[in-house]
Amino acid sequence: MTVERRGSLSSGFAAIGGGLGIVLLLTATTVVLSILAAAPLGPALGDAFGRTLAGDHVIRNHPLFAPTDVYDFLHEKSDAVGGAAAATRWAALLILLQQILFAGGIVAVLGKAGGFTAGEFAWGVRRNAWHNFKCFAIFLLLGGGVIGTWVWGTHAFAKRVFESSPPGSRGPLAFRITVILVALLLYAILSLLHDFARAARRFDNSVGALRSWGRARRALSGRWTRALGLFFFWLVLGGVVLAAGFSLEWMSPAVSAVAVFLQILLQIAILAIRPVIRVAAWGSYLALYDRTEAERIPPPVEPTEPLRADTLEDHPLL
Amino acid sequence: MKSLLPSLPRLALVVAAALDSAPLSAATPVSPPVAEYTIEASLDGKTHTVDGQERLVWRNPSGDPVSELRFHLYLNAFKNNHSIFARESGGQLRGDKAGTKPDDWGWIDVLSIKTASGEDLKPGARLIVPDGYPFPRSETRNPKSEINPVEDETVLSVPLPSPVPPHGEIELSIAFRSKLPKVFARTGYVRDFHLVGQWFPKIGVYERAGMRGRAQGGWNCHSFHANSEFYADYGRYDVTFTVPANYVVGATGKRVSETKKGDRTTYRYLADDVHDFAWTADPTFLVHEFRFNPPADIPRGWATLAASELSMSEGELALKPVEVRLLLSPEHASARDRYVQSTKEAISFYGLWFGAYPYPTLTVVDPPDDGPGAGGMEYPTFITGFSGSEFLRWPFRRFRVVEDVLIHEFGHQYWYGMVGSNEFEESWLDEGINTDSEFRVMQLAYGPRPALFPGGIGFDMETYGHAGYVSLPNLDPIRKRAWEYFSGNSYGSNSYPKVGLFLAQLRNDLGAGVYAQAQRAYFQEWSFRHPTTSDFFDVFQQVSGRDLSTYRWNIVEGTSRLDWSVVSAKTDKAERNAGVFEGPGGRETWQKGRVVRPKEAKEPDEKQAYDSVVVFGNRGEWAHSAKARLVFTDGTVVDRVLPAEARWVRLRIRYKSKLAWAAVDPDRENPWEWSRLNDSHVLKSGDGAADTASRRAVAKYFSKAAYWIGLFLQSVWALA
Repeated sequence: MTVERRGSLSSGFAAIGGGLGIVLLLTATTVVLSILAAAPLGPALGDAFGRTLAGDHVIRNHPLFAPTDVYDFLHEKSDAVGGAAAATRWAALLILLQQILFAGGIVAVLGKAGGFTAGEFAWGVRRNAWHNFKCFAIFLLLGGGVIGTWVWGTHAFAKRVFESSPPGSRGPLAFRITVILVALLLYAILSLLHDFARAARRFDNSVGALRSWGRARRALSGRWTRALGLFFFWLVLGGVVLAAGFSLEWMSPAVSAVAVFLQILLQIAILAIRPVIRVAAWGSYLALYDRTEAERIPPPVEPTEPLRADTLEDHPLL
Repeated sequence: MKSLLPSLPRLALVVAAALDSAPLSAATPVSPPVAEYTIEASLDGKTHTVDGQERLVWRNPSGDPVSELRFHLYLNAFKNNHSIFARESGGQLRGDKAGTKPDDWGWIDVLSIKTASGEDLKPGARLIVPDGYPFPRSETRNPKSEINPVEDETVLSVPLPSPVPPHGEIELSIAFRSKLPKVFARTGYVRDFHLVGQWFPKIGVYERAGMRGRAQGGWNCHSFHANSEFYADYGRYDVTFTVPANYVVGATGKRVSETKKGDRTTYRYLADDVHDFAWTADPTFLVHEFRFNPPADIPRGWATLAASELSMSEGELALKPVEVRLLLSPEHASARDRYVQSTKEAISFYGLWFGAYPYPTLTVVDPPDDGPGAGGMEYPTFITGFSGSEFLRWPFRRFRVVEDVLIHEFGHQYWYGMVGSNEFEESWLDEGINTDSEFRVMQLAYGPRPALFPGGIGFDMETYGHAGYVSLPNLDPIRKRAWEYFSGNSYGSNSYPKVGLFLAQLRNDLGAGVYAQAQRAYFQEWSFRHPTTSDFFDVFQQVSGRDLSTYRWNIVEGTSRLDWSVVSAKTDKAERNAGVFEGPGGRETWQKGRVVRPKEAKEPDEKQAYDSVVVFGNRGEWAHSAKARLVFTDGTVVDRVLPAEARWVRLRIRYKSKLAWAAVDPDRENPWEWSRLNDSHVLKSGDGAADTASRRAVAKYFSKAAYWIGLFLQSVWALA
């Protein structure tokens, strides 16, 4: 595979443009699954708010009537709400599956010089599917074990040590913040190992899941600061952009038909933020990984004397 | 209004007490002092125990000789998991869990009971369970009890060697030791914070024949139930308690002395015309004392509004100054100004609309974050607020929990404190009426949507009432004994929000003025007495001059709903004239809306009209009228009243324009309406009066739902 050579961060930004197809695919998958999950609400919303004044109150945020109308909707249409919740759980499972599978395509094609085709992406998905399932299982076990132990242990510790601390005292608060930050750091480390383990299939089609985790650990060895820096850079950038988009959508009143249409476009744009950030993060990680691979595989040795074909004369049978 | 009241001398006494500037604790009690307590107590801050010596003078209010006394031992509700309270609550209430550690339990031991002459009554005393014990009995029930083993130990019966004669009195001397539980259900300790409530042996109420509908005199002294609060007689409390010197304290009544001796300080409080006494102690309290100073502290316009609704002059509504002692937990220091403002609003509203707050003091306690069970509780002249730290910060800051709880608890000084209804048997008379008052104060002080989240999302108080009304199966009426509701939620719904909603309905039907006058009359007639549901309706009927039995039997004593709906609505082109008609110029033959005459055949004689037919139906059980509104596409509005007795009504209207929409109760004048979603039908969207955005609403909220689901789905990505 020929890959482009850039810095990790710029590779991330470059990946957004180069992997636009993947961004669109991830966004479209989210949108389609979301609509399917919300589908049970459609008839209920139509019944409650279509052709009733309740819809009028709700869209205009009537100060006195809208809250009651919304409450009545949630109460009277609880079956539909329950249906949407159940559908959402299935959609969550599907989107998890999608992430596992698409990661195979991403490591196969992202950052590749000269772009890629849909066929190449699909080939990557297919080739790495089983490997990625195994990597996910390892990630889940490690994550549950390490982070779970950390959170449970510190909770038990805090319960014993801080039980008689008055509310608002700084000790427990500082401890809680520390617990959260360390849990986040542990998650970041495991997440990076997981992504690098999947990236191991970028150059080696035959590497197994366990070996790929080992290879990921070696690849990150000595580069943890940079890798974690990349992780938190994309996390913070994504968080800020997402929060801004979320606030904008939350605050927009959207009463007229045009405004409602624009709000729907805004919602889709907000749903595209995470795919963008995810692809960018992958771009950065793969650039880092590619460099470590280049360092790991020694450059071809220049021949010092003309190559000779082996013959029986050179290696007599006896 | 006043002339309608049956007991003018009594009313005059109450009003005089309210207007008089002399404090109620100054030996001028307004209520007949049935129970007079003198208590000396000492708090051990480490073991959370209170050792007390109680002198009780009980006056027999009846014409019966009384040969047995009954006492509440409320703290025994927290003694073990066999008490009725523990069984009914499942050991959990308001986020607190009982008995998670050995030291968490609470109890009260009666060490001795003696008459003034020194006669020991303890040997004859027995624990009783007046309401029965509705749970499977245990094999391990209190075998070592000195009195007698029962599962629930919250009521003590004390036979007397000789009966207390009619209108006579008895003096008792009682020694007791109370161990406070870890904060649970309105009392207890957490760390050094102590809310000392229901802490002493408290005599029940002896109801004479005729009182509260009783055929014969007898004790009203129920076991302590998870869903019930309290009921007691008025009297005087003279309480002296000693605490470690570094503790900051507050209590019912007025502090009359403070004596420091070594590392302990003794405080003495006096309170008249109250039916309970509670106190608090905590070394970390921040103290803020301020004075409610009328008229400067009355919000602008409130006195004018009250005078207008009550048909009284503002001069007649004069309020009295109140000294307020606010005890804040340190982590809630930032809530101080919110407490101060809402306290002033509460004193103003209740004083203006019902009668001036007659006590000279009010103590407001703000419990710590780790003692939420101590929050939101009322005792006479002593209330606890609720300001969990999370409610002081974004995004819950404007949810106004601090203000709402404070206003509600202050309101109990009126509905519970002064109007002493029986909270065991008719909780709606205090919690429900107070919820209605609380709604009113919140709306007056903070606008129609007092509780707000960021982004303008919020709800009004009637939505809270509506939610409580419709969210549960409609199995219980409002009025029921507190422990007989099918669930704790049903008790809560029927005691608080449903009553708020019912009274909003009553106010809309009677008019704000008549309603306010009736409520004031009810307060003034029944202050320092024990009214019932019948008494409430009697006063309201007298003041309004209306028969309100439909409200009582359908809503308060029944489970009837009101559910008018638009069953169908359609609008069609009206059929055009056809046939032979007798016109002013003689007989005319019409065909397809035109007169059949050769020379005028091209000119239409009749303009197109539309027949609109709307059917309204009441799917609920309660017969009550409602307003129907028809709006046409030219903006014409037609209002009709759907009669109470009709189960359905069909309206037919021929008009030049099409019907745009039809609705029942469009202005939400019937808060008791069950469902709001079936109240309207829109036939045409468009501009003008008939403009509705219903279809856009469907698109908008479907996309919003999908969008939120999408955000949730993407959060799952963190896993993979």
